[in-house]
Amino acid sequence: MSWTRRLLVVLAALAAALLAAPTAQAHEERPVELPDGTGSVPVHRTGEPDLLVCKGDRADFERRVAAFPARLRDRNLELFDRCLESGFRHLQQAVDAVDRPGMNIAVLPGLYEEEPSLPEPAGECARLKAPDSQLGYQILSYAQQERCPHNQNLVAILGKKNLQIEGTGAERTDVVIDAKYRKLNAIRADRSDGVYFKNFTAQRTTFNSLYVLAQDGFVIDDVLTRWNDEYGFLTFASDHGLYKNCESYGNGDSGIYPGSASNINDGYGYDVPRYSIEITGCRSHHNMVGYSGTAGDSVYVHDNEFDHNMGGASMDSAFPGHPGLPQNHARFERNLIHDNNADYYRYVADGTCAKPPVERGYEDGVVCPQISMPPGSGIITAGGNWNLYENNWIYGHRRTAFYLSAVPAFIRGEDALSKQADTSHHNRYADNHLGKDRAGNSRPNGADVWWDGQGGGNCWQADTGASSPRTLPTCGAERGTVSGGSDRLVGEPVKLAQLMVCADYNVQARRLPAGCDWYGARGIERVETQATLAISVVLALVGGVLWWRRLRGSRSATVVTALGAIGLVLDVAGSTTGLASSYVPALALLLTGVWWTGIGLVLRRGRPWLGWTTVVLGALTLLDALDKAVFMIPWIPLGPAWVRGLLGVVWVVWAVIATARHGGRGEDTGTPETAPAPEAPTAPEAQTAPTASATATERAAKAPRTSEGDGA
Amino acid sequence: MRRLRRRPGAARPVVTAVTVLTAAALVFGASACGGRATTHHKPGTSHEQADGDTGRLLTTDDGSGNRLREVDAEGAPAVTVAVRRDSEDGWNVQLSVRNFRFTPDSVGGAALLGRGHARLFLDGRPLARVYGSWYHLPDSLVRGAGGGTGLTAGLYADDHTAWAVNGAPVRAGASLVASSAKPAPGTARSGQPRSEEPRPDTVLEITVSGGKVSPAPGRTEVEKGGTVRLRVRSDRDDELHVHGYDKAARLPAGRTATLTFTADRGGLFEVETHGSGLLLTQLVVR
Repeated sequence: MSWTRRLLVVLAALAAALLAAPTAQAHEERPVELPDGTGSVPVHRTGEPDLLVCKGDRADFERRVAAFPARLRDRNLELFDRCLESGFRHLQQAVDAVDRPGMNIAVLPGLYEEEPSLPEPAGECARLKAPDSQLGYQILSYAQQERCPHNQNLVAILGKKNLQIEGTGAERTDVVIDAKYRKLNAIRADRSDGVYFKNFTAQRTTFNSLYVLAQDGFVIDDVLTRWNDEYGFLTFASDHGLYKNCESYGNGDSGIYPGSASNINDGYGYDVPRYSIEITGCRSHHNMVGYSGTAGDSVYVHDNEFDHNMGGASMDSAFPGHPGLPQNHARFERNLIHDNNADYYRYVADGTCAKPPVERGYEDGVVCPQISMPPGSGIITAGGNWNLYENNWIYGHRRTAFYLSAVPAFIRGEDALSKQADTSHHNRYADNHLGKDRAGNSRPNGADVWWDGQGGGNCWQADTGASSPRTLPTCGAERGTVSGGSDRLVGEPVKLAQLMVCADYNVQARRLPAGCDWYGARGIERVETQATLAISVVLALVGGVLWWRRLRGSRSATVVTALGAIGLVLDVAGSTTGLASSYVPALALLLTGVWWTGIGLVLRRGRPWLGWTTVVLGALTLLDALDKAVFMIPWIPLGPAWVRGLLGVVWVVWAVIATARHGGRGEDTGTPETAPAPEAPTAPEAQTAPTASATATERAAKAPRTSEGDGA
Repeated sequence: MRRLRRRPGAARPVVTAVTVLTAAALVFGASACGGRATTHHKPGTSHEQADGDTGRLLTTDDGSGNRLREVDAEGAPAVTVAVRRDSEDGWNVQLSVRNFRFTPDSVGGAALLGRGHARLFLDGRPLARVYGSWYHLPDSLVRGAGGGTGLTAGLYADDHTAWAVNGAPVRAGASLVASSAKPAPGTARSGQPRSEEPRPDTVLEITVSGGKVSPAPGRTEVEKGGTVRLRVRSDRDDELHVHGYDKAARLPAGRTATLTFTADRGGLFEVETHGSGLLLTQLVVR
């Protein structure tokens, strides 16, 4: 097995471990293709409605409009009279009556439960042949949706072009379309290019409130969605879309999900001709994440507010079946992203989320997070390229403002070797207001950046505060200019190990990985601290015994061993959440590196091979410190931590063997050993040592699993 | 030297073993995570659709135009009411509910079993909606509703239909008078029928100590016709005086003296101590 192949195995294994990568959002749907992009964003039409929808109770209606401004009230009363005469009592009836493109439906104030859509599927609709999704529902073809529109949808808009549906109330809450958790979708618009939604509320589904699929042209204007198992707004594989002045909350995944937005800018740099979906003036709050986008390509997100979620916004390349992967070219500007520190995993832990959706209490603030993600984060990017995050206000996050990690291509189902490192490049984080609200008040983030270290061309603004790693590539004034850039094929080992542990989340099994701080692990419970502590203890023991048996005689070796001991203690301290983004981890590396280099130089006199190996290990450790705290070393495909870690294992074994052998106590004279080869006594140690010390990743992988006794 | 050369040689298989072991552990760990991803995240929560049982809508209403929504007696929402006189103003009302959750944010939506809000009625007249188990009922609201003592609470669904059992709305009552007159659960204070003396509209607590007035002298707005109660405690014997109204009271050292009067004239009036000549506050009556 060549060195490179071995490395690839490790990388592949690590990558495989990220299967349920953090922040991945997705949904299961029939195979769809991106639209050809020949459509356009529809424009609101103010003319007389073609079709009217209202409820029949005049007293109730008059109560609802009583407090409207006079003109609006009169207008509504006039529409109501017309509606009683020639309108519909259910929105679906009006949609079904649409017989040409460009019609307007006006929905009058009222509560729409769409009773005719509610009965369970019967007849042929109960016997559709279609694959089941992992979540139990059937993945229906378009033809099946047409045949049985209410198997999954309260209101189905199928193949209607340029339709406009507008509430006529004073507020979007005056028209409420309530699915009562009895359908997957409240409103589904499918192959209905040019649909325009305005001024209403849709709520309480077991999937999405407002679902737009495979459309060229849509607008969501002043619409509220809330209390859904997954998404408030899901607009999938669509182009020429506009969300404006919308609001969404109480969703188990995200409020706003422009998944697989048309991939029109693939191949471009930062300058692009246009964006496929624009999102502005929206507020998304009290969800798992405010915004999410698996393959959220070419989305222009500006002047929105994403707050009080577990994470503000996220985009990723973590799931197959999404046209347009890997994710690219999202542009975030002037958004307020703040206080996304909600902890909804507690509702998984206490069994609330195991109840049927109708009983969970979404209306009282319960959110059931569907996947694993790092709470307390502003913007999460898990496998994205050419994303621009500029001039946003990002503050008040307990974890970090920006979270960036790579996702290898085979996770999204692409096995070509050349693609495995094709994510996490050219993401630019510049000119943001970090840790300050719009009034300029200080509202610091726990850290400003968490980055796994992978990818090239990524950069952050120069005034970035605490970050992990502590030094980052810096953005120049122009887009595309980066100083101190690096281009690593794979991220830092400890971070990958942590991601692997954290990904083992399963909401149905109520499995919250014990060692992961995403779910509340603190202090010694965290896998990073456990791994660091274990490694430090092993190194302290080996180093201590080595010093006692071989180096006591050397004053300089004693001094550097003491420094090494401090370094190991600092390493443990630096692995804690409070210090992980400070200079402490790098200082620990510096001291440990000095120790290794120092004792290596001493050892070299008597044991040149071990001595020089130790010096090399020390040098690599110093290089790692430099890489993490001063500048990221360019031109190397792997961080020094990888080589250091592998060599460290060798060194531990070797050092144990060297100390275990009989020889001069307290001095190592360099006399060649003449005793018979101590293979017999050392062999067991050679085996036990690596097992006991393990590697961070191995320990990380095992710790939570054994504690839960769950191998599923 | 021969041995030294062999050292790294001996270590090499170990490295390989460690690497392979690590990789194996990782692969195992990965496969234990559920295998290769499909088009969806791992099974999320159940997406079980509700069966739609939300009771039967009756043609009768609750007397205020809200239709009754009948549910079986077993597991039906229920409420009890307790009232307690507030020490400053009005009443504190506590609703204890069973099989019911307050869902104020979804009011206006469809009815879902066992949730919604409560409504209060005074002698049958609508008084207020209640979105939680505690509610402060101010005297002004009782007066505004035309007065009365029969407080009733009923439970309503998000769509404003009244939860009902056996054709009658789910309700419970309490008497505002009764609870103030006798010391019992839900009662005001022990043996102190406060109704004999009008409740003051403004109460000022002032302490004079070492020549210092606390809180610092300021202006207090008083509604004309309202009742003002001054509760003053001085660390030396003194006399309390309200200018304009010419009201006075003795201030024995270390004890709280109370002076109550009706502010029936408009204007700015000073309250001071005559002995030490301290300004305590200014009353702005308008």
